[in-house]
Order: sequence, then structure tokens, then C-alpha cells
Amino acid sequence: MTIKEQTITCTVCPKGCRVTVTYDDNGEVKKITGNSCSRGEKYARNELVDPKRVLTSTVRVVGGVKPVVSVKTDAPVSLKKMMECMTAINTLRPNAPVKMGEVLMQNIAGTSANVVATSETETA
Amino acid sequence: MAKEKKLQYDVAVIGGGPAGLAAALAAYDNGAKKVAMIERAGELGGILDQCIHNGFGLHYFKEELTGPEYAYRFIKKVEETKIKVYLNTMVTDITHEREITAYSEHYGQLKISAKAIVLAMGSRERTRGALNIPGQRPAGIFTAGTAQRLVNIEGYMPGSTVVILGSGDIGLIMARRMTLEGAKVEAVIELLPYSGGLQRNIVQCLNDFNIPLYLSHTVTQIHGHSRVTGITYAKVDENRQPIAGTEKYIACDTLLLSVGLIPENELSKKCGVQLDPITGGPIVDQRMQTHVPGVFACGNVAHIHDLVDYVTEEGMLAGKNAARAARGKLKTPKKLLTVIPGDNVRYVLPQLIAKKKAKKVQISFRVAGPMERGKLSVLYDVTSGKSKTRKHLAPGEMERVGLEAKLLKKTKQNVTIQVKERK
Ligand SMILES: Cc1cc2nc3c(=O)[nH]c(=O)nc-3n(C[C@H](O)[C@H](O)[C@H](O)COP(=O)(O)OP(=O)(O)OC[C@H]3O[C@@H](n4cnc5c(N)ncnc54)[C@H](O)[C@@H]3O)c2cc1C
Ligand code: SF4
Repeated sequence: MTIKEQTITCTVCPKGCRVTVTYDDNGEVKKITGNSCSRGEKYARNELVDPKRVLTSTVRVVGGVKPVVSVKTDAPVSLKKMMECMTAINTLRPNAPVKMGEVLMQNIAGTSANVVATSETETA
Repeated sequence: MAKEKKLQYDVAVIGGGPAGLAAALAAYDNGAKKVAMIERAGELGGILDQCIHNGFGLHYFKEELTGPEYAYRFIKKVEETKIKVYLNTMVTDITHEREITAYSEHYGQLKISAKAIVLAMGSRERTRGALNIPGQRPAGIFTAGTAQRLVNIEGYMPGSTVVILGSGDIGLIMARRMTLEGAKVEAVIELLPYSGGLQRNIVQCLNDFNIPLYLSHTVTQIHGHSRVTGITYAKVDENRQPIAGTEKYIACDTLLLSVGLIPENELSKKCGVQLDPITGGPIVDQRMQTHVPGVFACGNVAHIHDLVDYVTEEGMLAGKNAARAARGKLKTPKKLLTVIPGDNVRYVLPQLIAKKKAKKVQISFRVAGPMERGKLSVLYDVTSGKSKTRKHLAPGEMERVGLEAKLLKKTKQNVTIQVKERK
């Protein structure tokens, strides 16, 4: 059995610790070093199997003062699903007004994350 | 034109970005009764309005917010106060005696006199003019910040195949943003042997999307007449000169420039504030006061920040002290200590310490080059304080160190911040 090592930059907080994960052929984690806190360990484990990120983008608003509002997923979504999520987000055309925090789409691309507004606009 | 108005305030804050928002709130909370905030845009929030990605507020709110959400929290707080906000109002002049001239769409010319002023005008982007790449000036060349504004505020994609010159944070963020919106980002090209951006952005914006980063490379030619058709890039030697024979061509319709930000200090100069040639911002003491009594500076106007949390902290410090200055409670001793950037340190801020009552003094600094492990130490005159090991030091990531009050008290001349490489 071979033992592999991978160094991952933890992006949970700005400290950006370099976390080294040692694992075997079966993907079983043997050792985790370099993290300053437990969130780093959890992050590194997840990075090996299925990296997730909060997705941010914009959506076009119908009849708003601003042409677009910014949005985010309210939970991290799998990197593998990013483009699928973007396609879904780009179909959204909410009517003004849009409020901060308003849920614009639920369970995006089957990820169980929702798309929420991170800015707002009045009706033109 | 509306007739000229003359106004008086205890504290006037110039700029309504995160630095200005924090400064105005802190001034108000620390007893300044009449506080004004003057912003040239139609909305408060500054650059945060176009920074729709998340990663703001990890220190301050202990959660990850997007730029607009971070700004929103402060804007709501301002709305709960009696702070007077002037939007669509551009400050054009400040005198040494703290007389402000501004033009407002709504009020016409405004003359404001303030007991204390906080400079919080942020920064502007370096442009191609400063770079001198041969080639015509076809359409399709944007600064990364302009592209960010077009995509995130106007909802308009500036191009479909993109090369980014410079690996500053805005460029990295835009590499991901344009990829998500369906563009093909061919490469990020960086002159230096290391990136000027945050490590987390390299991971999340480039690595996640397999966008190559070419370090020690530069763009040597821009092709195209009416629109960019491609660029030539080449490896550079230790003197940052292109190496003949290493040129390669990339076809693209858009070139984004992410080659850094410059503090916006035209106004500061007008009122006689002295600038630090390295930071490009005013020289300040630990209370964020400049050489001009009653004039304070904070945020990107003072030095370029990578994390908004520290911008907020600096803004609060400036606002609080501006409120004290307005009450005549801020004394500046004749003798100030100087803070000196020592070995491997490019700059320090504050550059001066007004010693009397100097308590918890935090020094922000940037290292001159990347270092895996460094020994950070502070010299108080010649006495060395406790030294600490810091890992993964990089010029793109601002560092901070707290001074030891006991040693500072005994210091007569200067404090030196230095970093020595540790193997
Ligand atoms: C692209 C980008 C990405 C970033 N990403 C992150 C991140 O992920 N996490 C993080 O923590 N930080 C990030 N930052 C850093 C942080 O957002 C900035 O450091 C911060 O916004 C600076 O705040 P400021 O108030 O000093 O300047 P600004 O936000 O630039 O505000 C200055 C304001 O002053 C106004 N103004 C200027 N001149 C005048 C005048 N003459 N009269 C009236 N008003 C005037 C401007 O209109 C503007 O609103 C990022 C910055 C950029 C540019
Ligand atoms: S390991 Fe902990 S301290 Fe280090 S970057 Fe991750 S979250 Fe931050």
C-alpha cells in the first residue's frame, strides 16, 4: 500500500494555513498537520473528496433601478456542480423590488442550497 | 446653480466606503454631535458594492460575507444615526484650515468647515499608461476593477476570451468571475516570481478552474487594431526584462490589467498632508492623524489593504480620534517616535507614534519578498523585544504586530520592525 501526501491551503479563514493530509490508496486519512484549528482539519478532509464553495454571481432584475442584483448560495456547493448552478442562476429574472436576503431560488441544481440576494434594488 | 451653502461640522468624513463608514460611526459614537459623510457616488459602500464575492468580515463579524452585505451592515447603522450623508457630492478642495469645497448634484457648491476631517477616499487602479506595452490601443483593454464594475453592477460582459496581466486580487477574482459567466480565461501573467494576491484567491479563483498562472512572465505586445486579437507574452529574467526567444502568442479579445492600486491622495496633497513615498498615502501617527492637525486618514487612502476588516478597524480608530480632536482633546506632543521599516520590511504604518499615553499600538506592515518562515522582531531604540516566528510571509498579505507597552515607554527615538529569514 502506498501512502500519499497532499498540501491544501485552508481557505476557511484569512490565515490560510497550509494543511498537509497523508492518506492511503483507499483514501483513508492517516494524518493531518499544519492546521491551526479544527475547522482546517474538516476543510482538508472535505477538499480531498468533494471540494465545496459558496457561489456568488448576479441576476438580471426586471423593472429595477439597478440592472442587476448580486446573489450567493446560502451554503457551499460542490465545485463539480458550479457550472450547472450558474446555468440555473442565469435563468432567474426576478421582478423589482428585490430585498437583501430574499430567497430567489430554492435547492439549486439539487444541492439543497438556496440562492439569496446580497444586494437590493427598488422599482424604477 | 443653487446658491452656495456654508456648513459647519464637528467631523467631516470624505468617502463613504468601509473606511469612511467606520470612521463616521466611530466619531458619532464617541461624542461628535455633527458628523457629515461626503460621497461622490450615488450610494454608500465604496468598492465593496462591486465586490460581490464572499470573504469579507471573517475577522470582524466572524462570518464570511459578500462585499455588498458587509457594506449593508454599516450603512444600516449609519441610517440609525443623525450622521448627515451627502451623496453624489464630490469634494474638490480641502485647505490646511479644514475648509472643504464640494460640488453636489442636489445642493450645488458646498462650503463646509470642520473641526476634524477624516480622509477616506480609497484608491484608484494603476493603468496601462504606467506600463508601456507596445502595440496600438485597441478596444478590449480594461483594468480589472473596471471589468468588475461592468460585470457586477452594469451586468455587461466585456469579452469572451481573456488574458489577465498581473495577479493582484482583483485580477484573480475576475478570472473566476468571467469563467463563471462563460468566458474562457486563458492565463494570468505575473511579472514577479510570486503573486501579489492572497493565497486563498489563487486557490479558489485559479486552481479551482484550472486557470494557469505564469510567474516571471510579462505581456510584450498587444495585437489588434480596432479590437484586441491576441497578446504576446514572454519569460523575464531577474531584472524583469523579457528574455528573447521565449515569446508565445495567445489569441484573445480582452486583456485585463490587475497591476495594483494607488491611494487616492490628490485632496490630501491640497491640504498639505505629507505622503509616504512607499505606501503612497499620508504619514500618520498611531491615532491616524496626519501632519496636519485635525486631519486623519484611514483605509486604502492610507495604504492598500487586502482585508476589509482591517480597513474598518482603522476607520474606527480615525473616527474616534477625530471626535476627540473636534473636542480639543487630542494633544500632539512636539516629539514623536518614528517607526522604521527594517530588514525585509517594505513599509510600516503608522510611521509615527505620539508617545504620551501610547497604549495598545498595532503596527501594520508588509514584507519586501516572500518568506516561508521569518523571525519577526521589534527593536525599541536598540533593545530587542520578544521575537516571533511567522510562517508564509508574502508581500500580498498585510501583517500586523502589537508593540509592548513597557518597552515603548522607555523608547526615546524609534521603533524598528524587522524580519529575518528562518530556515
Ligand atoms: C477587487 C477587490 C477585491 C477585494 N476582496 C476582498 C476580500 O475578499 N476580502 C476582504 O476582506 N477585502 C477585500 N478587498 C479589500 C477591501 O475591499 C478594500 O480594502 C476596502 O474596500 C477599502 O475601503 P476604503 O473605504 O478605504 O475605500 P473604497 O471602498 O474605495 O471607498 C472610497 C470611497 O471614497 C469615495 N471618494 C473618493 N474620492 C472622493 C471625493 N473626492 N469626494 C467624495 N467621495 C470620494 C469613493 O467614491 C468611494 O466610495 C478587496 C478589494 C478589491 C478592490
Ligand atoms: S486551519 Fe483554522 S486557522 Fe488555519 S486557515 Fe483554516 S480555519 Fe483558519
